[in-house]
Amino acid sequence: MLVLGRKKGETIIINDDIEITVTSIEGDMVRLGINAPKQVTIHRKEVYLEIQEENKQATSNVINLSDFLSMKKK
Amino acid sequence: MKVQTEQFGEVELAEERVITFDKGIPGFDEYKKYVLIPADAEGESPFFFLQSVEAVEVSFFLVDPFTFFKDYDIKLEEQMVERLQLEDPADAIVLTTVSVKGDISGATTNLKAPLVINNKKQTGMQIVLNNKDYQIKQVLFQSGDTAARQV
Repeated sequence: MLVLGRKKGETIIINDDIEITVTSIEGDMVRLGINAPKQVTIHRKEVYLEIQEENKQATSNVINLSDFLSMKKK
Repeated sequence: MKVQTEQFGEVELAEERVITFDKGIPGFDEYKKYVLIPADAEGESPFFFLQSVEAVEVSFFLVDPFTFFKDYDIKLEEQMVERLQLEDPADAIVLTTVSVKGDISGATTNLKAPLVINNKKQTGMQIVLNNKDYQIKQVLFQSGDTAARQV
């Protein structure tokens, strides 16, 4: 892992087209501003991992489908 | 085309029904092609399966979230709209994954990360909403609903 020191207002650039700027630092909270091409998806990692896990659970349901089908559209 | 489905066995579907998730779905990045199949043939159920045409075991159980959460709303950022090639909001189908542990009353749905499908261009993606009110594990059946169901 590359580790860089940056001050508030300073930026790093990745691969010519992704810019990450330290916009504020308060205690142990750092705010980052990110400029990236629109095809690049950006997520908070812990949220992304949770969503991955949830997706896996949504494919491995043991469903009694008839129970769900009894719930008609209201 | 014939599609092997986990829930319904082999089904015959029009080629145009294939939806492309060009980034895949988190946790399933390698699968890009899906078909959306209503849980019942009459199309009256709010439940659906998003079946991978590449892997039979990859079949997401989905729900129309608006059926259960009247106030649910999502704001699509411009980049999402562009990526989905969405020209008209009416072309968007919004569905959320359902996971069930134990019996049906324990079912939860992921309101934080809905799947958005462009029904015209047959493109789709899972987006993550910033809204802190929307939970990854939102209980689907509020106690009132379950009670009503048993009547």
